[in-house]
Amino acid sequence: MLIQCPARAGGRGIRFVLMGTMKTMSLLAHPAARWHRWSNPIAALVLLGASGSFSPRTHADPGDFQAMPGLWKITLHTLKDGRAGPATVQWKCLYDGGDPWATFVDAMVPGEHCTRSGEHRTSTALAWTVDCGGQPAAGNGRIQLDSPKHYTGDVTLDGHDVLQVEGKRYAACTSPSD
Amino acid sequence: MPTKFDRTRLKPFLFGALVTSLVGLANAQTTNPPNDASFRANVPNSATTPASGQSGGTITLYSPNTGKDNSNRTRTPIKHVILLIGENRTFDHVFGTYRPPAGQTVYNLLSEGIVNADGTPGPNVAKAEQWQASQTGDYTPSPTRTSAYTQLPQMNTGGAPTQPYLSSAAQAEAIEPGLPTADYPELAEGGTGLPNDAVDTRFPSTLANAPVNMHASISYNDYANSPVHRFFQMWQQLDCNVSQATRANPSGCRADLFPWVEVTMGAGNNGATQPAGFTDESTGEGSTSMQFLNMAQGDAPYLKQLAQQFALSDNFHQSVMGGTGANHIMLGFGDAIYYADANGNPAVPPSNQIENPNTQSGTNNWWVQDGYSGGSYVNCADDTQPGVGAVRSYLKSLPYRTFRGTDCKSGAYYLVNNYNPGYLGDGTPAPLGANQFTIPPVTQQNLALLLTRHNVSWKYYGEGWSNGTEDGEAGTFCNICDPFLYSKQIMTNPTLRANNQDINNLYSDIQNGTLPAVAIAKPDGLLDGHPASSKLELFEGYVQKIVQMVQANPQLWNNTAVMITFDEGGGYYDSGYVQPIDFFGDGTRIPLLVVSKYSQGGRVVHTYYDHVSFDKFVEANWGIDETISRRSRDNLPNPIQFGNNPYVPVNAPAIGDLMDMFDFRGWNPDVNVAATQN
Repeated sequence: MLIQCPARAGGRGIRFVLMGTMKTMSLLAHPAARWHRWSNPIAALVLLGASGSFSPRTHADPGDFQAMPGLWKITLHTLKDGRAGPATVQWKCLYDGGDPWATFVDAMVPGEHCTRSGEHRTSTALAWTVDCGGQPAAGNGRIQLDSPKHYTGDVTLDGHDVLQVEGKRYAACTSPSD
Repeated sequence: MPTKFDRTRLKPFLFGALVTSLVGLANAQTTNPPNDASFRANVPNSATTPASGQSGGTITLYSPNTGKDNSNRTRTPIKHVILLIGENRTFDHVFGTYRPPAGQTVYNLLSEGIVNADGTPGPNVAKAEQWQASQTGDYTPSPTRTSAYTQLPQMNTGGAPTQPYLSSAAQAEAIEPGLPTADYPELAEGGTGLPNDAVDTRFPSTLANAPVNMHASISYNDYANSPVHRFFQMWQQLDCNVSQATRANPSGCRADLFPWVEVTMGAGNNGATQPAGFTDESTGEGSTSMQFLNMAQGDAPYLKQLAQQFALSDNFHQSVMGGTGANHIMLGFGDAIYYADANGNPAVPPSNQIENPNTQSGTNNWWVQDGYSGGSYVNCADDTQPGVGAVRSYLKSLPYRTFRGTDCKSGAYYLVNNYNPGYLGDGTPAPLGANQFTIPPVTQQNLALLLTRHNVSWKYYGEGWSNGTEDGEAGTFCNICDPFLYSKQIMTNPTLRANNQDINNLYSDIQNGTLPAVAIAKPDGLLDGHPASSKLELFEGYVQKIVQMVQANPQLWNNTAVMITFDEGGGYYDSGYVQPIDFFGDGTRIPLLVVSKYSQGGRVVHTYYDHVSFDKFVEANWGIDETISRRSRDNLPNPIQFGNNPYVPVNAPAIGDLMDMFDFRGWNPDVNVAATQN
């Protein structure tokens, strides 16, 4: 079960608590991790690249996930016996410096008792391990950007796909601190 | 000895009416008789007929370009106006130490003796003294003051970036088209070198109770923090109470709780309880609100140059207490907008989106529900709603009757802070719900619809618009800044929607002579001057590039006015008079510069204005005899004021139409009016 609560005055820091493991992530832990009122300029550099490859951001954390800030439509499919169930849709704003784990990954919980750990971030991917404490017991999750405005991903448990996701950016989402 | 106006509430109004009747000043806006008075006598002082067909009734979808084009039929030589809107700077924050050309006067920190030209506290620094207060229970805009600060809380870095956002001028130039070439290094410089939300050690650890001179501690090229600028917070910061009213300050707004509101409530809590160990630094602000740039020491050089060469207002105001969205909306609609159903009728928003600024038990001014992911709607027609009764009680105690008697539309929950607009750039309705913080589409009338009805061309140039994908310039388009993204009539009409364009369209329209009559332009988030995410020097560069392009086109320079202002003061302290107009504002002063062939000489204009003065200018200049709506502020009269206090309208509430920012001597109105009538 995911509980989301503001951790500090100003409403800019958000703590995420995964019941069972008390996992805490603070936006403040990352130097760039703030709800700035505008988006990540590096994403435009990425768009400018004719090859579509991702450019490093010299002054930022090299692990910055280079999704373009804005309003994202996240479409989730739960799979059972290899068959996709009905889609569920979430719309979320990613602010500049915002936490991509909170925006994109928190929605990808395969079960009520599952927890996330082993998080790994690159400029184009987020990957993690999943522990559900029972049957199925454990697995992995991953999302992969193919452009700053689109990604796909999945969660597997015991070698089977249990969740598929697609994210697409649709519009701006001006940061709340304007 | 201050005069208490609670015993003579109608005195200023009656006296003003008497003056009007005796002198016949239908359009008296300035202390100095205008040199173009004979011309101005022929200019309508404001539109007078409200639009019909308000929201809730039949919605007219407009079809532009089907009738005659009235864009060139003006009452003045101004055929084009371009409004450039920066972010978050009060008048004193920018022009606090400005010294105007000989013969001009200005009201600022320096002229009031609050600071010296070197930025140190001046002989009258007590005028800006800041206080602590006690606020428990129900909200009040004027909490009980306890004691003046002996020292201001220390500065905090907040969200100011540790390192600049970009690594090189070349990288900046690859993203950003809006700067003169020489300015690109600024985007790769100026990081604080400090962590976020920490004491800002660039500033002294001991701060006197006075405005804080940024120039003494950091470079103009450095990033700095951004103070709170939300609706109910700004009411408290201004600390308005008629028991403190004087002749010079009949609204009784003392502007003496700026740091206290920052360190007690800050920018909202989204309904959370107050964290344990709460201190003056917990909100990540400290006394940021008291910072000012020092123009006398070289800060903001381009804005200074424009002020010296053209016309500057020292009495232009943000139209709504608080932040970006609500102020851009007031500019575009002349009114605040409300949560509506599919037919445009008032509806009740999700409960978590309703403001509740009452204080949580056991705290000092830590509110029940307010925040960027929380309450932002207010049913201001209902005195029983949290925060409403106290503000309305103050407004009703003023020595004048506020606009429309301080009423709000019955049952309407008005948006007073930032929520996303009801449409995406491609015209798709935005997703709604309790967790979306998006206002549904509105059908209220606005300036663009008014212009369309009267066949006057218009465009909104939002940098980063990118044909409605809103992903240009690294996704830094400001969607909440475009007032027409909220409008059902505009966004569901492809032709009208196409009037939303990008900065390169502005450049090409200037160069090709295809500018519309009315243009509003907004920089992206990199250049808008917002503290923490931008710098004022970057907005200066954005302005300079556009002004120079206009000046480079002789035909355009002959008939174009470039107006430069800000959305709001960003929560910075300002010493100027504030005239409460209605439940929503006005708020603090912000700069306004008018750059045109008819605004030269470095004049400082003292007429009272706010954002809706721009709407009034457009209506007067293009001879539009209709206002936006019955509730829009363009129905307000132009100010009348006494010569010994040009800043306070005696016929309050009143806002000017900006005609005082021009001098049309040498232009023949008879010829022009005749042409117009043809």
